Amino acid sequence: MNQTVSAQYNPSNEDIAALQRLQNLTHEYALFSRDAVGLGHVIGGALVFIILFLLRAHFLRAWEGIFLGATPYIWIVAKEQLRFHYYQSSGQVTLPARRWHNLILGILAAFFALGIVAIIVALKLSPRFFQGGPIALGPVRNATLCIVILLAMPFLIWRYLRSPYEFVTGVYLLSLSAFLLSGNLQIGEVFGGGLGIVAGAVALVMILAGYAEHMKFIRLRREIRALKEPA
Amino acid sequence: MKASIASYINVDRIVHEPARLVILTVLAETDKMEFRFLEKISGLTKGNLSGHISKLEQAGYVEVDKFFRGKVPVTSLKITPIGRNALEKYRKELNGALTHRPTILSAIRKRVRSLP
Repeated sequence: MNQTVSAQYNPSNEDIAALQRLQNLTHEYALFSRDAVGLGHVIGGALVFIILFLLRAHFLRAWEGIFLGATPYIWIVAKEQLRFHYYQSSGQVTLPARRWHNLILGILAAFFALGIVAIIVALKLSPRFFQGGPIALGPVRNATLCIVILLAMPFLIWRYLRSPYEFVTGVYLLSLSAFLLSGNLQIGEVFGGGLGIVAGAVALVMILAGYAEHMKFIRLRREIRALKEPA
Repeated sequence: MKASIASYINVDRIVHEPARLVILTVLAETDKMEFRFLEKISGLTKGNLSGHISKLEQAGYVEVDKFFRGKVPVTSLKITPIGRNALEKYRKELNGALTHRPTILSAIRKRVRSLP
């Protein structure tokens, strides 16, 4: 039995406090299955700064375009691996789903549907928009690739981008990826300009928040380990 | 007051047991939890924990899901709505008993004295 809960059970305020403590520790640990990403936030923030540097430094070369296009997927894989093998290594613990989460995703899906319609219209009016770039497949195929990425976005956001920082950064990176892989290396002006400043500010906060979360996790792990040690 | 004494004496014995109370309390905070985390947070041994989980499962307070992740067997636990209600009811009864503790104790003493 845990050191904080007496074996000779006589319900008291101390026992309730001990239960409260276990509940809090569990909740904090479970947060690392959803909102708290720790070093995953730091990686995401760092990737945004690399992207902003490349977008502002010069006209993108093909391999840089492919790298930038692949960035959100690299980030998602890295942070999910970190979550599974490091932050939830003592066992997977998940929190109940939030009620407003599905509502936001519904709105977002509608927003992306409009984006897809805009792409189809743009393809009809100006096919050259989808030519060139790191993967030159022709206007129709490039536009299709862009639409496929946009279609996948609501799922990726629902499944992998659960914290507010992840959401903002994820949408920025995935949109950039959709346009870059659709053949638009000139898109840097949009994503490196006003949008880039917002994404940069969020990335900075994300790095600091991620570091704070990581330190919190180290303290939490120490506390959980101490529960097993004799009093 | 009599109602408080009665509720304290008639608390749900499945929830009242300290190890099971810990299990239900931490499970109530989450959607799903793996057995090995519960083992760490409760400080119970595997065998002891399994025994308590079996009792909770029989009472319909928790759901147990066993599956394989690759080649590794995984046991996942989830508190049921019945379990959540039982825990909530127990908490209310315990809070009531703690709030009225001196009065309850004096009432119990009086009753003991009045026994033949």
